[in-house]
Amino acid sequence: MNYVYLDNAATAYPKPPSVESAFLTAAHTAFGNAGRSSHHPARLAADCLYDCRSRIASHFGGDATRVVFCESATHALNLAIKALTPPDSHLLLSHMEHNATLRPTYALQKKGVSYSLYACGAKGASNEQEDTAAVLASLEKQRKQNTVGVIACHRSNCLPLTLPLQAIGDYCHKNGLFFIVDAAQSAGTCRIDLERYHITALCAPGHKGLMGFRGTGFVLFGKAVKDEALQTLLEGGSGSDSLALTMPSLLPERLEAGTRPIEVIAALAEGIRFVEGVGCESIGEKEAYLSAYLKDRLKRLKHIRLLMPHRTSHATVLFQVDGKSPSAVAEALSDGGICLRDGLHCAPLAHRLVGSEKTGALRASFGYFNTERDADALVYALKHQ
Amino acid sequence: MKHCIISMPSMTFAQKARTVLAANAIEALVSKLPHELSEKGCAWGISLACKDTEEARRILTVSDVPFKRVWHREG
Repeated sequence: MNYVYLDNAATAYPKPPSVESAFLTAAHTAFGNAGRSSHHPARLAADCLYDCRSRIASHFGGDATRVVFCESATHALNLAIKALTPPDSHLLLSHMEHNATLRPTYALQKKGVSYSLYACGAKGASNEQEDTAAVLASLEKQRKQNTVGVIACHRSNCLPLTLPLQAIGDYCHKNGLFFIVDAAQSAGTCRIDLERYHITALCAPGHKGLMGFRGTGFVLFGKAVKDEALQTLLEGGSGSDSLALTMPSLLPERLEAGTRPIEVIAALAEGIRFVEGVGCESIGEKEAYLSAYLKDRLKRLKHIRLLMPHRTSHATVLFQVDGKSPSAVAEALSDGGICLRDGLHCAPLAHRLVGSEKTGALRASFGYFNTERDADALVYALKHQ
Repeated sequence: MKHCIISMPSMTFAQKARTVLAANAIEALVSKLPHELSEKGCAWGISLACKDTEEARRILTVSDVPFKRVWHREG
């Protein structure tokens, strides 16, 4: 079956051919364990690892030695949040955080950590300045004496909402707070500059906008972080300091216990090369165009209700079909080869913002390889729902 | 033949050192440290010509790449 794949916010498909080639080349040549042995295949594996660290650092304006590989953005967020947050402290989370942030933060309650939610924009805002002002006012209102950090989901995975990283980063810098950014939906589709935005830890998946495969993610730490102060999430072999019972004091090995998946990491490096070749802004513009194209056509269907219809979408369109459950619609669309996602998208807070917390909704999410024909196919299928 | 090894805090820093030195026209190879040179078990360093070690140390210091010590080796 030829699929119409509109679930790129969950994981991007297809991947560029060069990414698939990089995976296979690594599997057949760099089959040793990076950083452990000194034979040739292990050295090639270590070179794949460092090449990808360098690509990530170069793309986001950081240092290659501060890239910690993870299995997903969720893993990355868990690692960053738990490594940076001391007991009995307070965190600020936006009103649109994904469960990848919400749940690890909630889990820290057993260590006395509390959190408050800040606004991610102004109701009925007509421009970005109004949204930014609302975010900053809310941060200030929610900040407590023991607040240590701010976590920001850069771009919602279902709503047309983007947090102002520069303004939040400046606020954190001015107030001595750490700043963790969840770039799950934005990495690879716009410029994110670690230093300029005062980001302490940038967390991203490899398998979405950066065009890699599932099984990759990373945290890129800023220079201000003191490595030895980072609490480890996992302990184990690191290829160095083997006689010590504790993890090495320096990044990235401090937070990288166990064998790294070289094949998908080599593919991720190639994915980032692809993104840089096309230009992340161009990719973002194309996805935004397709979202606007779809929204425009869905607005003409009387039985479709768009959620947040007036805000500019980046890559996702959230909607409901009158009188039908999202899951039933998604299933019917799936029978016709159209892949999109129903439910709460692991983002209950975002759904609460638009009143779809109890019912759920349907999300179409575009990637670089989608075309107008994919949107047309969805509209055609929905006309007959 | 005599060569020198600069011991590094980790494989990643050895790789960074190799990259930084290559940009300054100094050839260095990432190498696993002989067991007798490692203080806490497995360790990594960079091998280079002994004549380059002073300049390499200077470059690494300026470039903010941490390193441990220089070893002179035969063979």
